[in-house]
Amino acid sequence: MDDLNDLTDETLMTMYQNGNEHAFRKLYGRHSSKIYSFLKKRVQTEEQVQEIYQDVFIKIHSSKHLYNKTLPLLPWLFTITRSVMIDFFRKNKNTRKIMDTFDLNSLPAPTEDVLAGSTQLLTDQLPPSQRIAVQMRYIDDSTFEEIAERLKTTPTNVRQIISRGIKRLKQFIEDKEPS
Amino acid sequence: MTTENNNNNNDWAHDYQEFMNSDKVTPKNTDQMVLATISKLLNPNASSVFVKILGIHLAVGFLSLSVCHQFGINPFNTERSLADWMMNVGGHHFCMLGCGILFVGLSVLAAGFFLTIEEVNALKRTSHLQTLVLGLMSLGIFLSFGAEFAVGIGAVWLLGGYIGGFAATETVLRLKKV
Repeated sequence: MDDLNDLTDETLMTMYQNGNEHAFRKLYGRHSSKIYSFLKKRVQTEEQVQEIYQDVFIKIHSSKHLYNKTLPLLPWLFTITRSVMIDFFRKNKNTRKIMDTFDLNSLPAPTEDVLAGSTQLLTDQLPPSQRIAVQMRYIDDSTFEEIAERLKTTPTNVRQIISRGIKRLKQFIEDKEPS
Repeated sequence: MTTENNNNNNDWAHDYQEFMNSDKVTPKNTDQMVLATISKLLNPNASSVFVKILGIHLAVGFLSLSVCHQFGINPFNTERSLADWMMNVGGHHFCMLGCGILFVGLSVLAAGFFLTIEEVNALKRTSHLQTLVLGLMSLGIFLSFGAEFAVGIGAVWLLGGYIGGFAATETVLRLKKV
């Protein structure tokens, strides 16, 4: 288990995707406090925090196959946390209490496919051709040929467009992370 | 629409920043509860995996009789059979071995589509036992449907079933891994 200390989140997540429990425990140790504190700040009762917190991890587990290892893990974890919390409050409107800055109506509806939601928000940062290519590839699961047809270009060019898009997204996320 | 998108992005970025700066310690009992839940999901019971595989095997194994008659059992009344071809190519023992590989291997391969990676890992941990039991049960069913075979022939078929099941488990695991 100590050998896992040097591994990146993304590598650990890949191991977890393959069913490695030690990798999950390591990731849990690294990031559970972020998830818990985020919920604690926004949710009224400890009981609700506990309920949502557990739902978040069950959602992470059931969606883990959707995680794309070329993208950073933390925004993905965050998007799931946020979506599960919003979903919880949508289902329990009478008991909700969310900070004023949190406007439910302005947010896109969380779907079953959390990764798709995450990618959707992230890809809004991209210019049109990159956005279409990345969304078709990672949300619609389209082939390079299908994307090429839509963008009226070649599959080779599509690969380059997606590669540039992913680089741009990584840069966007790095810029947003506190130093 | 663009303004709305910008607001969403700003909300997302603001919340994300806050998320990154949070570090409140999770209560111990909550940790234990979550870790136990995920551990259970990551380590499914081998017997429940076997029940799933058995169900799939009954369906796939029965359908496979349309392309490879086992011990002369031909419920679909098809004229051609891989068993005949294997008999011509390599003789009786080769045919039995091939039939066993095909009968069990196909089912495990098909099961791979329905099992989660955790279930495939559980299958892998007990694959020797699972494929052996699957093969023995299949032979039992063939006997009950009137198949006639000597112990030696049955053993060769069982060896084929074991090889097929083991190879299929390895293949499914490789295909499922990210």
